[in-house]
Amino acid sequence: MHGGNESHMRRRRGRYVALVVLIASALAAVAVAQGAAWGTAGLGSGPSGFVGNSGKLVGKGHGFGETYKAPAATLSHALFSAKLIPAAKQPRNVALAGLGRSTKKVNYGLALKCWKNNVCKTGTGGKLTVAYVEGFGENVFRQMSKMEFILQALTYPQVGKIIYMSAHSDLNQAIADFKSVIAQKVSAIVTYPDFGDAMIPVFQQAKKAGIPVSTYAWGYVTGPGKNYTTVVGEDTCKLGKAFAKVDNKLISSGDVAFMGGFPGNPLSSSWQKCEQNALKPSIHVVANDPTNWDPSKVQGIVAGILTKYPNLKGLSYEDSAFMAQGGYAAYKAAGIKYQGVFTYRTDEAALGCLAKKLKNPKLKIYYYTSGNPQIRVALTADMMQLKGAKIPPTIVFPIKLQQQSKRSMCIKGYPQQASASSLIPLKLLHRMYP
Amino acid sequence: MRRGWLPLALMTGLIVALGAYTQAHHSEFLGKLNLNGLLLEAMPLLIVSLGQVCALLVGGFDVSVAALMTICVVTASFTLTPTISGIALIPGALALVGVGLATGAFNAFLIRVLKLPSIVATLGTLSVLEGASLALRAYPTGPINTDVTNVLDSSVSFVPYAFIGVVVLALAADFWLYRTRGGLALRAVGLDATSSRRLGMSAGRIIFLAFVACSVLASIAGFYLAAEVQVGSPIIGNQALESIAAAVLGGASLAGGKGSFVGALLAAFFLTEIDNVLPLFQQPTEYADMTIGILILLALVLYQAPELITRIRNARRRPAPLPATTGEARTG
Repeated sequence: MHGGNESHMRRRRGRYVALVVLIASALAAVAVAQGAAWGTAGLGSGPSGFVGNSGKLVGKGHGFGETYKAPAATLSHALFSAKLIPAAKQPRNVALAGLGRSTKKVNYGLALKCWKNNVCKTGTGGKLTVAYVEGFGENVFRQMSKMEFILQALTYPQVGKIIYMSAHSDLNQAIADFKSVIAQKVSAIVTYPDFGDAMIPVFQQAKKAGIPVSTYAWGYVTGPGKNYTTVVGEDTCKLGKAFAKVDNKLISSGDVAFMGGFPGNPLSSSWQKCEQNALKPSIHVVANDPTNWDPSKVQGIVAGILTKYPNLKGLSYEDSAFMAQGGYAAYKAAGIKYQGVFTYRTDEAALGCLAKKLKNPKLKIYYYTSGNPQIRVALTADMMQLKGAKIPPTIVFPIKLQQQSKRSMCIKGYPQQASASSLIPLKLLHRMYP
Repeated sequence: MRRGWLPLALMTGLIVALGAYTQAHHSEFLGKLNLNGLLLEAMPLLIVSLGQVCALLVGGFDVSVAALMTICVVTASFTLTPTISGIALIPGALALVGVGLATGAFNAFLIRVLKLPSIVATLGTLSVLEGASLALRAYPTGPINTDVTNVLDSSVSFVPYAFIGVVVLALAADFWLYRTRGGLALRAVGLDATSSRRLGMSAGRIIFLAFVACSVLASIAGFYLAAEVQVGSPIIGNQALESIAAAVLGGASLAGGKGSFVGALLAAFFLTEIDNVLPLFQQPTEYADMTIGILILLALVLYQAPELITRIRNARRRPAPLPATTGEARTG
């Protein structure tokens, strides 16, 4: 009996050892695979952004260390058309200078290394430190903006250090982060001010310390040009009106819903207010729910809206990718056909590919560009100011919504979470989102 | 008494150690600009932590403080507008304190009269206040009078006058708590409300006043949040858990009856120091949350270790009393 127990225990021990070895091997294999995906080696170098093949350039002139020219292909990719650049000379020059830097060669391995870390040295020995400080950075849109910022910073040999900070949706932390980079005497700051005018005091502190601050994606804070350098982006009120124009044309009457980011964030409240005011009286906004731009919340929120309003005619929101995931899942779970008039601020490949797959003519999707490359222009504005340029207080890109059925967001071989109008080279995108 | 010094010594040691380590790597840490920023940044948490000690001393929690601070910022954007000046600002400032008083009285009513557990009562108040803030200001707007914010931020060298004031307040409060009959009554009620009532203390009134004091201090902390953002932001306050953490790290017992205002002050300063230091090292802020969590657990174990050891020893020496006996002892 005793001997039987011993041999039983020996067998069990043997099984445990085999199991441990198996788990260790599996973990090692995963680590190697992950390492290959995340590794920075073998990436080489190339243009800092999408440049296309035509070689045609838009714009003319130069100054303050910049050339006011950008490839037409870059502009068409980022803005849908080379014509959709600011009309006035000053903002146009900054926009062209910023987007034109897509032709400059950068080290992709270094870019990826910087993207994975909060701080990195560029190795140029440059004396400038640039910082991208934001209130929230935990979604694909923000992480892509981070990469666009890094790629742009790497085009400047005078930049020796790149800093990134996210306050994880905490206003107090956002203020502390801003104060910290001011104390560190960084040379330039780019930010997405998720907390709107609550950031004015720290913007003013930075200005007092001689540090240019620019915002992108119409992260609007009162007093551009006075409290800080400039705001780059599209006019979000015009975006809301463009959404309303689509709704008014395609919906005769019925209910529509809005979703937004954090409660009270200036981006969502701006387009929502303008869309609501521009809708015809027969269209009713029955829900306006904040999602905190958190993909995990979208399904529940859409499900809640559909429970009460199963005949929903349309929905407006910022992030199209979330509606390809959680939004679609909610429609499926509710047994309601995924159709209606959907207007979005961003153009992630996922929703385009889903629409292509569903082939439902009643699914009408209109979208704008996610605007990730706007952060490049914001950094260039800061850099030009450091060289003594007078920067216009606003650099506003004209808006033209695109129709999914005519211009698909779905690009073959493109990471599903990524915005199709991003300028990040595909090679890098695949390493970021394998 | 010796044990009471442990949190104070630990927090002081941690503040100095973290500061010295940071200074060794980043010379800008002890720069006037950073120190002034650190002290101003700490002000809201310092003040609200003192309030939280009041709630913890009577064996409760107040998680509504963060939302209360937010609604005070929003209120300030209506009552302390840039168009008002001089003596006319006083009613506007009093409005904020009034919001604190009303919230404290409401919380105390829920806890004392309706007998709701403090965490449930204040959680309900938190939701009401959060919603009210967003209803009043859908997004950050409504500038706050800069004369007021400048006064609040005014400093001698890098030390804000308000910081000196709050240190004096904490010292006086600890003196009152441990050297006066009023302080003794507060601790006694926190330790055992039933017994202290039988001894003639007005337990209900003391608990009521403790929650009112907590809310009033939170509303004063709201002034400093208002000075930080200078606009009616509906999403700024998030110091509820941090204030509880500061009070506990400063030596307050979750069971009530024990705590230190100076300890909470030191702990609140240490927590802000972590927030200030991490960006200098370019470390993600999630490390701050993890550090705070680990520190709370360690502090709870460390501060309660003597009691735990005594309990374990006693349990080993004699068999556990019968449940009926325990019940009698408690009710008797």
